[in-house]
Amino acid sequence: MNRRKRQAAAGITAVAVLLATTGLALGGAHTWRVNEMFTNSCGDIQFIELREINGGPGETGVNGHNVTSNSKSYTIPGPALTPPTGFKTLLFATPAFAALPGVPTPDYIFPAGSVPFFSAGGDTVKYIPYSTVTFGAGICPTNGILSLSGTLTTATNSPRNYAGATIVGGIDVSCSMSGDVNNDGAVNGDDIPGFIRVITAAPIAGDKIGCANYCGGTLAANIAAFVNDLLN
Amino acid sequence: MRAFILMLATAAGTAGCTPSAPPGCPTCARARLANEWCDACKVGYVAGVPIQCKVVFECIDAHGHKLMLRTIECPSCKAAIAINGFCETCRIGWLDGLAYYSRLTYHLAKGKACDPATLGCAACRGNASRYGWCAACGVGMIGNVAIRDRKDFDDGCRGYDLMITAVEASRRCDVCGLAIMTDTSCFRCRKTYKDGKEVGS
Repeated sequence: MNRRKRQAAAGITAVAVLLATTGLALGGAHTWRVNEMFTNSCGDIQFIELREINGGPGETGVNGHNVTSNSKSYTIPGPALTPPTGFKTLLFATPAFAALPGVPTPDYIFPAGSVPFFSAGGDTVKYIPYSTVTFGAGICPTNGILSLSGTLTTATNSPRNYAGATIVGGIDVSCSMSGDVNNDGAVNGDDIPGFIRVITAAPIAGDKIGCANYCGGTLAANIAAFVNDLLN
Repeated sequence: MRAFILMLATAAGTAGCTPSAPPGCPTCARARLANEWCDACKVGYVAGVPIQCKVVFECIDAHGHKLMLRTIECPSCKAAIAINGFCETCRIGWLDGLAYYSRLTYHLAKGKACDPATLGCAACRGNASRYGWCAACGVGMIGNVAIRDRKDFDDGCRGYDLMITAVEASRRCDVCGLAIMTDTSCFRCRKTYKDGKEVGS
Protein backbone atom coordinates (compact mmCIF):
# COMPACT_ATOMS: atom_id res chain seq x y z
CA MET A 1 0.00 0.00 0.00
CA ASN A 2 1.49 3.36 -0.93
CA ARG A 3 1.90 6.27 1.48
CA ARG A 4 -1.27 8.15 0.42
CA LYS A 5 -3.44 5.10 0.75
CA ARG A 6 -1.98 4.39 4.18
CA GLN A 7 -2.77 7.94 5.30
CA ALA A 8 -6.30 7.70 3.96
CA ALA A 9 -6.81 4.41 5.72
CA ALA A 10 -5.48 5.86 8.96
CA GLY A 11 -7.81 8.83 8.65
CA ILE A 12 -10.82 6.68 8.00
CA THR A 13 -9.91 4.46 10.93
CA ALA A 14 -9.54 7.49 13.20
CA VAL A 15 -12.94 8.80 12.20
CA ALA A 16 -14.48 5.38 12.68
CA VAL A 17 -12.95 5.10 16.16
CA LEU A 18 -14.18 8.57 16.99
CA LEU A 19 -17.68 7.78 15.83
CA ALA A 20 -17.68 4.48 17.64
CA THR A 21 -16.68 6.05 20.91
CA THR A 22 -18.72 9.23 20.65
CA GLY A 23 -22.23 8.26 21.65
CA LEU A 24 -24.38 11.01 23.03
CA ALA A 25 -26.21 10.62 26.29
CA LEU A 26 -28.53 13.62 25.87
CA GLY A 27 -28.96 15.81 28.92
CA GLY A 28 -32.14 15.54 30.94
CA ALA A 29 -34.70 18.25 31.37
CA HIS A 30 -36.81 16.85 34.15
CA THR A 31 -35.96 19.01 37.11
CA TRP A 32 -36.81 22.51 35.88
CA ARG A 33 -39.83 24.10 37.50
CA VAL A 34 -41.82 27.29 36.98
CA ASN A 35 -40.29 29.45 39.68
CA GLU A 36 -41.52 33.01 39.17
CA MET A 37 -44.02 34.91 37.05
CA PHE A 38 -44.24 38.68 36.67
CA THR A 39 -46.57 40.96 34.80
CA ASN A 40 -47.44 44.62 34.79
CA SER A 41 -51.05 45.72 34.53
CA CYS A 42 -50.78 46.13 30.75
CA GLY A 43 -49.40 42.64 30.23
CA ASP A 44 -46.68 43.87 27.92
CA ILE A 45 -43.93 43.60 30.52
CA GLN A 46 -43.83 39.97 31.62
CA PHE A 47 -41.31 37.35 32.50
CA ILE A 48 -41.39 33.70 33.47
CA GLU A 49 -38.46 32.17 35.26
CA LEU A 50 -37.71 28.45 35.39
CA ARG A 51 -35.40 27.07 38.04
CA GLU A 52 -33.54 23.78 38.28
CA ILE A 53 -34.56 22.55 41.70
CA ASN A 54 -32.57 19.45 42.49
CA GLY A 55 -29.00 20.48 41.84
CA GLY A 56 -28.80 18.32 38.75
CA PRO A 57 -25.67 19.27 36.83
CA GLY A 58 -26.77 17.80 33.51
CA GLU A 59 -30.32 19.04 33.02
CA THR A 60 -29.33 20.63 29.75
CA GLY A 61 -31.95 19.29 27.37
CA VAL A 62 -34.61 22.00 27.69
CA ASN A 63 -34.44 22.88 24.00
CA GLY A 64 -37.42 21.47 22.17
CA HIS A 65 -39.63 21.60 25.24
CA ASN A 66 -42.54 24.02 25.52
CA VAL A 67 -43.47 26.77 27.93
CA THR A 68 -47.19 27.40 27.72
CA SER A 69 -50.09 29.33 29.16
CA ASN A 70 -53.74 28.71 28.50
CA SER A 71 -53.51 30.76 25.33
CA LYS A 72 -49.88 30.81 24.25
CA SER A 73 -47.05 28.39 23.68
CA TYR A 74 -43.33 28.82 23.14
CA THR A 75 -40.98 26.11 21.99
CA ILE A 76 -37.55 26.56 23.54
CA PRO A 77 -35.15 27.02 20.63
CA GLY A 78 -31.48 26.60 20.18
CA PRO A 79 -28.96 24.05 21.39
CA ALA A 80 -28.83 22.33 24.73
CA LEU A 81 -27.72 24.40 27.69
CA THR A 82 -24.10 24.54 28.71
CA PRO A 83 -23.65 22.63 31.93
CA PRO A 84 -23.62 22.69 34.88
CA THR A 85 -27.26 23.45 35.37
CA GLY A 86 -27.67 22.88 39.10
CA PHE A 87 -29.99 25.44 40.73
CA LYS A 88 -29.72 27.79 37.76
CA THR A 89 -32.57 29.78 36.30
CA LEU A 90 -33.84 30.40 32.79
CA LEU A 91 -35.47 33.72 32.01
CA PHE A 92 -38.24 33.99 29.44
CA ALA A 93 -39.55 37.51 28.85
CA THR A 94 -41.50 39.79 26.58
CA PRO A 95 -39.73 42.26 24.29
CA ALA A 96 -40.86 45.19 26.46
CA PHE A 97 -39.20 43.61 29.49
CA ALA A 98 -36.00 43.06 27.53
CA ALA A 99 -36.00 46.75 26.59
CA LEU A 100 -36.06 47.96 30.19
CA PRO A 101 -32.81 49.52 31.40
CA GLY A 102 -30.66 47.38 33.66
CA VAL A 103 -32.59 44.14 33.36
CA PRO A 104 -30.78 40.84 32.90
CA THR A 105 -30.76 39.76 29.29
CA PRO A 106 -33.50 37.21 28.90
CA ASP A 107 -32.38 33.78 27.81
CA TYR A 108 -35.44 33.60 25.58
CA ILE A 109 -37.74 36.36 24.32
CA PHE A 110 -41.34 35.67 23.48
CA PRO A 111 -42.32 36.84 20.01
CA ALA A 112 -44.39 40.02 19.83
CA GLY A 113 -47.44 38.04 18.79
CA SER A 114 -47.33 36.14 22.08
CA VAL A 115 -47.73 39.20 24.28
CA PRO A 116 -49.21 39.05 26.82
CA PHE A 117 -47.98 35.50 27.29
CA PHE A 118 -50.09 34.77 30.31
CA SER A 119 -53.17 36.38 31.81
CA ALA A 120 -52.90 38.09 35.17
CA GLY A 121 -56.57 37.39 35.70
CA GLY A 122 -55.96 33.67 36.01
CA ASP A 123 -53.97 31.20 33.98
CA THR A 124 -51.96 27.99 33.96
CA VAL A 125 -48.29 28.32 33.15
CA LYS A 126 -46.47 25.13 32.28
CA TYR A 127 -43.06 23.83 31.43
CA ILE A 128 -44.24 20.84 29.50
CA PRO A 129 -44.53 18.19 30.90
CA TYR A 130 -42.71 18.64 34.17
CA SER A 131 -44.13 21.72 35.87
CA THR A 132 -47.59 23.27 36.10
CA VAL A 133 -48.64 26.35 38.04
CA THR A 134 -52.30 27.38 38.06
CA PHE A 135 -53.59 30.57 39.58
CA GLY A 136 -56.98 32.21 39.67
CA ALA A 137 -58.18 35.76 39.47
CA GLY A 138 -56.60 38.19 41.89
CA ILE A 139 -53.61 35.99 42.66
CA CYS A 140 -50.98 37.31 40.28
CA PRO A 141 -49.81 40.83 41.23
CA THR A 142 -49.94 43.53 38.58
CA ASN A 143 -48.55 46.46 40.54
CA GLY A 144 -45.31 46.42 38.64
CA ILE A 145 -43.20 45.43 41.65
CA LEU A 146 -44.40 42.12 43.02
CA SER A 147 -44.20 38.78 41.24
CA LEU A 148 -45.84 35.40 41.79
CA SER A 149 -43.78 32.38 42.77
CA GLY A 150 -44.34 28.82 41.62
CA THR A 151 -45.90 28.15 45.01
CA LEU A 152 -48.27 31.13 44.61
CA THR A 153 -46.57 33.42 47.10
CA THR A 154 -45.76 37.01 46.22
CA ALA A 155 -42.56 38.93 46.69
CA THR A 156 -40.52 41.65 45.04
CA ASN A 157 -39.66 40.46 41.58
CA SER A 158 -36.19 39.01 41.06
CA PRO A 159 -35.53 38.03 37.46
CA ARG A 160 -32.33 36.06 36.95
CA ASN A 161 -31.00 34.59 33.74
CA TYR A 162 -28.94 31.46 33.13
CA ALA A 163 -25.68 33.35 33.54
CA GLY A 164 -26.82 34.48 36.95
CA ALA A 165 -27.37 38.11 36.02
CA THR A 166 -30.15 39.88 37.86
CA ILE A 167 -31.25 43.39 38.74
CA VAL A 168 -30.76 44.44 42.33
CA GLY A 169 -34.11 45.21 43.93
CA GLY A 170 -36.00 43.97 40.90
CA ILE A 171 -37.69 46.08 38.30
CA ASP A 172 -40.11 48.83 39.21
CA VAL A 173 -42.73 49.53 36.57
CA SER A 174 -45.33 50.61 39.06
CA CYS A 175 -47.41 53.71 38.54
CA SER A 176 -50.13 55.36 40.57
CA MET A 177 -51.05 57.87 37.87
CA SER A 178 -50.36 57.34 34.18
CA GLY A 179 -48.29 60.17 32.78
CA ASP A 180 -46.94 61.29 36.16
CA VAL A 181 -43.39 60.30 35.28
CA ASN A 182 -41.82 62.61 37.88
CA ASN A 183 -44.18 61.22 40.52
CA ASP A 184 -45.25 64.58 41.90
CA GLY A 185 -48.94 63.77 41.87
CA ALA A 186 -49.83 65.64 38.71
CA VAL A 187 -49.57 65.15 34.98
CA ASN A 188 -48.21 68.33 33.44
CA GLY A 189 -45.33 69.76 31.48
CA ASP A 190 -42.90 68.81 34.25
CA ASP A 191 -43.41 65.22 33.20
CA ILE A 192 -42.34 65.78 29.60
CA PRO A 193 -38.56 65.44 30.07
CA GLY A 194 -38.95 62.27 32.03
CA PHE A 195 -41.45 60.87 29.56
CA ILE A 196 -39.01 61.50 26.73
CA ARG A 197 -36.19 59.89 28.67
CA VAL A 198 -38.27 56.79 29.35
CA ILE A 199 -39.44 56.33 25.77
CA THR A 200 -35.88 56.79 24.50
CA ALA A 201 -34.64 54.16 26.95
CA ALA A 202 -32.59 56.63 28.94
CA PRO A 203 -34.41 57.15 32.23
CA ILE A 204 -32.67 58.61 35.23
CA ALA A 205 -33.19 57.87 38.89
CA GLY A 206 -36.57 59.13 39.94
CA ASP A 207 -38.29 58.62 36.57
CA LYS A 208 -41.35 56.39 36.96
CA ILE A 209 -40.91 54.13 33.97
CA GLY A 210 -44.32 52.56 34.43
CA CYS A 211 -46.04 55.93 34.16
CA ALA A 212 -44.92 56.38 30.56
CA ASN A 213 -46.86 53.25 29.65
CA TYR A 214 -50.51 53.88 28.92
CA CYS A 215 -51.02 50.28 27.80
CA GLY A 216 -51.45 51.61 24.31
CA GLY A 217 -49.51 48.76 22.86
CA THR A 218 -47.42 51.02 20.64
CA LEU A 219 -45.14 53.99 21.19
CA ALA A 220 -47.44 56.19 19.12
CA ALA A 221 -50.46 55.21 21.17
CA ASN A 222 -48.65 55.91 24.45
CA ILE A 223 -47.48 59.30 23.18
CA ALA A 224 -50.97 60.19 22.04
CA ALA A 225 -52.42 59.26 25.41
CA PHE A 226 -49.77 61.28 27.26
CA VAL A 227 -50.38 64.32 25.07
CA ASN A 228 -54.09 63.97 25.64
CA ASP A 229 -53.51 64.00 29.40
CA LEU A 230 -51.32 67.08 29.11
CA LEU A 231 -53.90 68.96 27.13
CA ASN A 232 -56.89 68.05 29.27
CA MET B 1 -49.18 -1.12 14.34
CA ARG B 2 -47.15 -2.25 17.33
CA ALA B 3 -45.86 -5.25 15.38
CA PHE B 4 -44.86 -2.89 12.61
CA ILE B 5 -42.91 -0.74 15.06
CA LEU B 6 -41.10 -3.78 16.39
CA MET B 7 -40.31 -4.98 12.89
CA LEU B 8 -38.96 -1.54 12.17
CA ALA B 9 -36.87 -1.69 15.33
CA THR B 10 -35.42 -5.02 14.30
CA ALA B 11 -34.77 -3.81 10.80
CA ALA B 12 -33.12 -0.69 12.16
CA GLY B 13 -30.89 -2.86 14.23
CA THR B 14 -29.60 -4.66 11.21
CA ALA B 15 -29.93 -2.16 8.40
CA GLY B 16 -29.12 1.21 10.03
CA CYS B 17 -30.79 4.02 11.90
CA THR B 18 -32.79 5.56 9.10
CA PRO B 19 -33.46 4.56 5.54
CA SER B 20 -30.79 6.99 4.40
CA ALA B 21 -28.21 6.08 7.03
CA PRO B 22 -25.33 3.84 6.08
CA PRO B 23 -25.74 0.31 7.33
CA GLY B 24 -24.00 -0.44 10.58
CA CYS B 25 -23.68 3.14 11.81
CA PRO B 26 -21.07 2.70 14.55
CA THR B 27 -22.61 5.35 16.76
CA CYS B 28 -25.98 3.69 16.52
CA ALA B 29 -24.42 0.35 17.35
CA ARG B 30 -22.98 1.81 20.52
CA ALA B 31 -26.11 3.82 21.28
CA ARG B 32 -28.24 0.72 20.98
CA LEU B 33 -26.27 -0.98 23.74
CA ALA B 34 -25.91 2.11 25.91
CA ASN B 35 -29.40 3.61 25.55
CA GLU B 36 -27.95 6.70 23.98
CA TRP B 37 -28.65 9.14 21.18
CA CYS B 38 -26.99 8.98 17.79
CA ASP B 39 -26.71 12.58 16.72
CA ALA B 40 -25.62 11.65 13.22
CA CYS B 41 -28.80 9.73 12.57
CA LYS B 42 -30.98 11.77 14.97
CA VAL B 43 -32.27 8.68 16.74
CA GLY B 44 -32.02 7.40 20.28
CA TYR B 45 -32.36 3.89 21.62
CA VAL B 46 -33.97 2.49 24.73
CA ALA B 47 -33.91 -1.28 25.12
CA GLY B 48 -32.93 -1.36 21.47
CA VAL B 49 -36.09 0.48 20.37
CA PRO B 50 -35.31 3.41 18.07
CA ILE B 51 -36.85 6.72 19.12
CA GLN B 52 -36.65 9.60 16.72
CA CYS B 53 -38.33 12.20 18.88
CA LYS B 54 -35.64 13.80 21.04
CA VAL B 55 -37.88 15.15 23.75
CA VAL B 56 -39.62 11.78 24.15
CA PHE B 57 -36.27 10.01 24.24
CA GLU B 58 -35.14 12.36 26.99
CA CYS B 59 -38.39 11.98 28.89
CA ILE B 60 -38.06 8.20 28.91
CA ASP B 61 -34.78 8.99 30.61
CA ALA B 62 -32.42 6.25 29.65
CA HIS B 63 -29.83 7.37 32.17
CA GLY B 64 -30.14 8.15 35.81
CA HIS B 65 -29.95 11.69 37.08
CA LYS B 66 -27.38 12.61 39.66
CA LEU B 67 -29.30 14.98 41.91
CA MET B 68 -28.63 16.49 45.29
CA LEU B 69 -30.58 14.09 47.45
CA ARG B 70 -31.00 16.66 50.19
CA THR B 71 -33.31 18.57 47.84
CA ILE B 72 -35.73 15.66 47.56
CA GLU B 73 -38.79 16.49 49.65
CA CYS B 74 -41.24 13.73 48.75
CA PRO B 75 -41.46 11.27 51.69
CA SER B 76 -42.12 8.40 49.31
CA CYS B 77 -39.02 9.27 47.31
CA LYS B 78 -36.95 9.46 50.46
CA ALA B 79 -38.12 5.98 51.40
CA ALA B 80 -37.44 4.72 47.88
CA ILE B 81 -33.93 6.17 47.89
CA ALA B 82 -33.11 4.13 50.96
CA ILE B 83 -34.17 0.85 49.36
CA ASN B 84 -33.41 1.46 45.66
CA GLY B 85 -37.16 1.52 45.12
CA PHE B 86 -39.73 3.25 42.95
CA CYS B 87 -41.83 6.18 44.11
CA GLU B 88 -45.32 5.74 42.69
CA THR B 89 -46.24 9.31 43.64
CA CYS B 90 -43.52 10.99 41.63
CA ARG B 91 -42.97 8.03 39.30
CA ILE B 92 -39.25 8.17 39.91
CA GLY B 93 -37.13 5.07 40.41
CA TRP B 94 -34.08 5.37 42.63
CA LEU B 95 -31.05 3.20 42.14
CA ASP B 96 -27.73 3.79 43.89
CA GLY B 97 -28.72 7.40 44.48
CA LEU B 98 -29.56 8.09 40.84
CA ALA B 99 -33.06 9.14 39.80
CA TYR B 100 -34.76 7.40 36.87
CA TYR B 101 -37.77 9.29 35.63
CA SER B 102 -39.54 6.36 34.01
CA ARG B 103 -40.55 2.95 35.30
CA LEU B 104 -38.98 1.30 32.28
CA THR B 105 -35.52 2.76 32.58
CA TYR B 106 -35.46 2.24 36.34
CA HIS B 107 -35.92 -1.49 35.76
CA LEU B 108 -33.66 -1.55 32.72
CA ALA B 109 -30.93 -0.04 34.87
CA LYS B 110 -30.99 -3.21 36.91
CA GLY B 111 -30.41 -5.33 33.82
CA LYS B 112 -27.68 -5.70 31.27
CA ALA B 113 -27.87 -4.67 27.63
CA CYS B 114 -26.55 -7.02 25.01
CA ASP B 115 -26.59 -7.73 21.34
CA PRO B 116 -29.41 -10.28 20.99
CA ALA B 117 -27.59 -11.93 18.11
CA THR B 118 -24.93 -13.07 20.58
CA LEU B 119 -27.42 -14.86 22.85
CA GLY B 120 -27.06 -18.60 22.81
CA CYS B 121 -30.67 -19.31 23.70
CA ALA B 122 -33.13 -19.11 20.79
CA ALA B 123 -36.00 -18.30 23.13
CA CYS B 124 -34.11 -15.39 24.63
CA ARG B 125 -33.20 -14.15 21.18
CA GLY B 126 -36.87 -14.24 20.25
CA ASN B 127 -37.88 -12.51 23.46
CA ALA B 128 -35.54 -9.66 22.62
CA SER B 129 -37.78 -8.60 19.74
CA ARG B 130 -40.17 -7.22 22.35
CA TYR B 131 -40.12 -8.80 25.81
CA GLY B 132 -40.49 -12.23 27.29
CA TRP B 133 -39.36 -14.49 30.11
CA CYS B 134 -37.31 -17.59 29.47
CA ALA B 135 -37.93 -20.12 32.22
CA ALA B 136 -35.05 -22.28 31.06
CA CYS B 137 -32.52 -19.48 31.45
CA GLY B 138 -34.29 -17.77 34.31
CA VAL B 139 -33.95 -14.43 32.55
CA GLY B 140 -36.33 -11.97 30.98
CA MET B 141 -35.49 -9.91 27.95
CA ILE B 142 -36.99 -6.46 27.60
CA GLY B 143 -35.77 -5.48 24.20
CA ASN B 144 -32.04 -6.02 24.29
CA VAL B 145 -31.80 -5.84 28.10
CA ALA B 146 -31.54 -9.02 30.15
CA ILE B 147 -33.20 -8.88 33.56
CA ARG B 148 -32.88 -11.67 36.08
CA ASP B 149 -35.37 -10.52 38.71
CA ARG B 150 -38.88 -11.57 37.75
CA LYS B 151 -40.60 -8.66 39.48
CA ASP B 152 -38.29 -6.15 37.86
CA PHE B 153 -39.01 -7.83 34.55
CA ASP B 154 -42.78 -7.73 35.01
CA ASP B 155 -42.77 -4.08 36.08
CA GLY B 156 -40.37 -3.21 33.33
CA CYS B 157 -42.71 -4.73 30.74
CA ARG B 158 -45.42 -2.29 31.82
CA GLY B 159 -42.98 0.52 31.20
CA TYR B 160 -41.98 -0.93 27.84
CA ASP B 161 -45.58 -0.99 26.65
CA LEU B 162 -46.02 2.62 27.75
CA MET B 163 -42.86 3.60 25.90
CA ILE B 164 -44.05 1.97 22.68
CA THR B 165 -47.37 3.79 22.97
CA ALA B 166 -45.58 7.08 23.51
CA VAL B 167 -43.16 6.49 20.65
CA GLU B 168 -46.03 5.65 18.30
CA ALA B 169 -47.87 8.81 19.32
CA SER B 170 -44.76 10.95 18.99
CA ARG B 171 -44.68 10.24 15.27
CA ARG B 172 -47.88 12.27 15.08
CA CYS B 173 -47.30 14.70 17.93
CA ASP B 174 -44.26 14.96 20.19
CA VAL B 175 -46.26 16.63 22.96
CA CYS B 176 -48.70 13.72 22.98
CA GLY B 177 -45.72 11.43 23.34
CA LEU B 178 -44.59 13.39 26.38
CA ALA B 179 -48.09 13.46 27.79
CA ILE B 180 -48.40 9.68 27.51
CA MET B 181 -45.13 9.15 29.35
CA THR B 182 -46.12 11.52 32.15
CA ASP B 183 -49.92 11.14 32.46
CA THR B 184 -50.47 14.75 31.48
CA SER B 185 -52.14 16.65 28.66
CA CYS B 186 -51.18 17.73 25.18
CA PHE B 187 -51.86 21.41 24.68
CA ARG B 188 -51.78 21.03 20.88
CA CYS B 189 -54.18 18.16 20.50
CA ARG B 190 -56.18 18.90 23.65
CA LYS B 191 -55.84 15.31 24.82
CA THR B 192 -55.27 14.00 28.31
CA TYR B 193 -53.61 10.67 28.97
CA LYS B 194 -53.54 8.24 31.87
CA ASP B 195 -51.64 4.93 31.87
CA GLY B 196 -51.09 5.23 28.15
CA LYS B 197 -54.72 5.78 27.27
CA GLU B 198 -56.55 8.91 26.25
CA VAL B 199 -58.95 9.83 29.01
CA GLY B 200 -60.22 13.23 28.04
CA SER B 201 -60.01 16.13 25.67
